[in-house]
Amino acid sequence: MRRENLLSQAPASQAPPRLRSNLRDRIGDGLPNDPQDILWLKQALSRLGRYNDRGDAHPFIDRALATAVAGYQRDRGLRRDGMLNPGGETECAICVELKRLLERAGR
Amino acid sequence: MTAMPIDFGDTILRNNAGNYFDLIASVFDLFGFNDAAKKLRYYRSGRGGSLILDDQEMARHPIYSESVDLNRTRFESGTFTGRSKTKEGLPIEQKLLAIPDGGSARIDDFWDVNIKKSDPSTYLNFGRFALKSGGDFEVSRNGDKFTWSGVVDHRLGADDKKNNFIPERFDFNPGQPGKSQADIAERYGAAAPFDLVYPNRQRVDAQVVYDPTPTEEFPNGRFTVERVDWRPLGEGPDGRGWWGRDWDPFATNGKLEFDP
Repeated sequence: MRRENLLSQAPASQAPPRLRSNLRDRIGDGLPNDPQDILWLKQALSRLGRYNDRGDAHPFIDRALATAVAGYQRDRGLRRDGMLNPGGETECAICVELKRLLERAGR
Repeated sequence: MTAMPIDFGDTILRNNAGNYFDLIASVFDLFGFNDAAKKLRYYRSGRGGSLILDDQEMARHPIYSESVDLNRTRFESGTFTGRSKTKEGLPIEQKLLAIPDGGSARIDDFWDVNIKKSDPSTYLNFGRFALKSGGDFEVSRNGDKFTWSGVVDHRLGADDKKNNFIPERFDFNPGQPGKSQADIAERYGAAAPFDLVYPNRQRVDAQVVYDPTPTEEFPNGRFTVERVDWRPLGEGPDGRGWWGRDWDPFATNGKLEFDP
């Protein structure tokens, strides 16, 4: 029996969980970049104190954002490629930090 | 608590209370909650004082490292960016801006986590517990660049209302199962509460840049973290664990080794 048949016959409760990403597509300097993805990334890094939007968050990659991503990847021991893949290690690291931080607001 | 002199009736009460905890410890072992069983046996030993926890045990309770990670994020996003306040209530942002170019200042801050819910293995081992991460830093300024350098002590416990650090204690509080048995056992010297100790010191260096441009959210300008370097937990001057400066684990009863 072929593998896809097995999967199609598996009950929904046994299907592998779908990972939900905040990103629609890959982010990186020189890539098309979805504007919503850029805005999410800026807001996330800003909340972590790693990015300064100077009060005007436009949906494009600027040098400050590229530097912030590179610095974050360096400091967290992640692959330093300046890119975020949907569900990749950089996005996941950011999400885990944000989740913990926002769940425990205040001291 | 000094043990009361006992007579025959008291002996029965004492033995029943002690047997209660011995039975619970055996049940914990049966279900694989070995860390919790060990705590109960130490409690039953009546030694009191402090019990130093080891790295292997803490690795079995991931919520500890998650809480340390959380407090590190808070230092980065709250302390280093000037958004929080010192324990005296002074805004860190003001202290930073008061540093002259080429000057430095000492800044301290802390973050704590109250863990009220955890998996059964951790809850039976620690109950509700708190983690306090206290940071002590030297901040130097060079133009719009601020360099933070210091240490953060991660300790089980929390400050009381007078800002005195109270270590996490293994005991039985009103409303907890076993409280009545605990009162009897402790009264007759068949058990004693003790402090849970697991200090970890961590060195950190951070580079922060200041942008004086006022915005609606940051009217005094904004501090942004450019770089942070957290050294490994527990790294001491000679590679061994490094106790907090103001805490001496040997100040209690001097008995730290325990092998049930």
